[in-house]
Amino acid sequence: MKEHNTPETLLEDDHLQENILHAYLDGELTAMEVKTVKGHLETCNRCQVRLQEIQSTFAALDGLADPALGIDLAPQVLRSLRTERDVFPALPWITAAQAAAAVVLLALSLPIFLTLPLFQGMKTSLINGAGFLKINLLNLAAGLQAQYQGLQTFFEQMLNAYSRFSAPDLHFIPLWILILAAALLGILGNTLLLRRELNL
Amino acid sequence: MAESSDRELVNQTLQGDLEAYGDLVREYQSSVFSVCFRILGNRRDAEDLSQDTFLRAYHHLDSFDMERPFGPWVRTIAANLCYNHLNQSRPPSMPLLDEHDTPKGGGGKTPEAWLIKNERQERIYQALWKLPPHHRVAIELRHFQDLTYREMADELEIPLNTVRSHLYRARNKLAELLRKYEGT
Repeated sequence: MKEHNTPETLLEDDHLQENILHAYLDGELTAMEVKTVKGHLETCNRCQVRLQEIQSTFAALDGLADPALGIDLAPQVLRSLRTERDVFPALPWITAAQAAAAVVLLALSLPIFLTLPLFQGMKTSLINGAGFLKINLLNLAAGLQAQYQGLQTFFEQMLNAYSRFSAPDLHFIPLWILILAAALLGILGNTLLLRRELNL
Repeated sequence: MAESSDRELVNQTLQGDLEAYGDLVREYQSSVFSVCFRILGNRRDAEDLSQDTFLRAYHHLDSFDMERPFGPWVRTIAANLCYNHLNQSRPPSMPLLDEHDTPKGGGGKTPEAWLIKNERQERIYQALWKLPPHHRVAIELRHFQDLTYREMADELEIPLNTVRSHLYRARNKLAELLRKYEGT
């Protein structure tokens, strides 16, 4: 128990408190408290009897033999760990940092490669590609803006459709695909995490 | 197994040697199973939770304090897992004998009976499994794992006073059940 009790707080109605007797047997009293308890026990028959009753419960538990396992758990444990390791190979942070650093360095060195005659054709392609990408990004932004404006209509359609228990009128197909893709990604990601958690 | 040998096996495991972990499992599987069996009262659940204990211990091996022995650490994980398992599964796993049956001993009543040495022990187990999960775990950690009140409070994340009350209530209930089963 180790928190200091005064002799009075160890007693209740002139007898040792139940939890004090347990703490005494558990070796959880301070030396001062032990002295007080021993002193009381010498003169109190009722507390002696109660102490013996508690001791008999201790003895019953002490005499409990361990059950026999009978099988070897190691093969199954190791099989689970090996499967886990195969599905989720450990990627030390240092390896990940090295890979990231390599990608950054490669990107920084790209202009040097582009000065080489071998890469002149690629340079033109890249410039064309960048232009293509820029145009498409602008188109995408314009498209998203249009989608945003239509978002309210979309949700109205969706709510109406559900309220009628029938298929919605799908005017904004990309948005549906986006939602579906997000859902599938979420399911896939969570499945993988669950597999890891459950050691499947 | 000497503590230094356990430390060596833990180190080898941390370096990726799964066979070393297999040796640790073999060394401690019986004592871990005993913890699970005492708390759960069901052989199959005890085997499953023993395996889960070793998987959990493997994943937390980097937090294992090398200055302390491996056995108590892994057995405390087992006790916690079993406690969570009992709290999550409602109703709790069926104990050895029927809820209203006063055990008179005589093995062979259930698949678990063969695990227990004699009638007296069967009665003690039966009384133990009648206790609520938090009382069973308190008994396990104090009597079988020899944890102090403070260590139990830390492990179960409950106040020190709650540990005291769990323990003496658990023992009193256990004594009462034993008196009932033994007809005294």
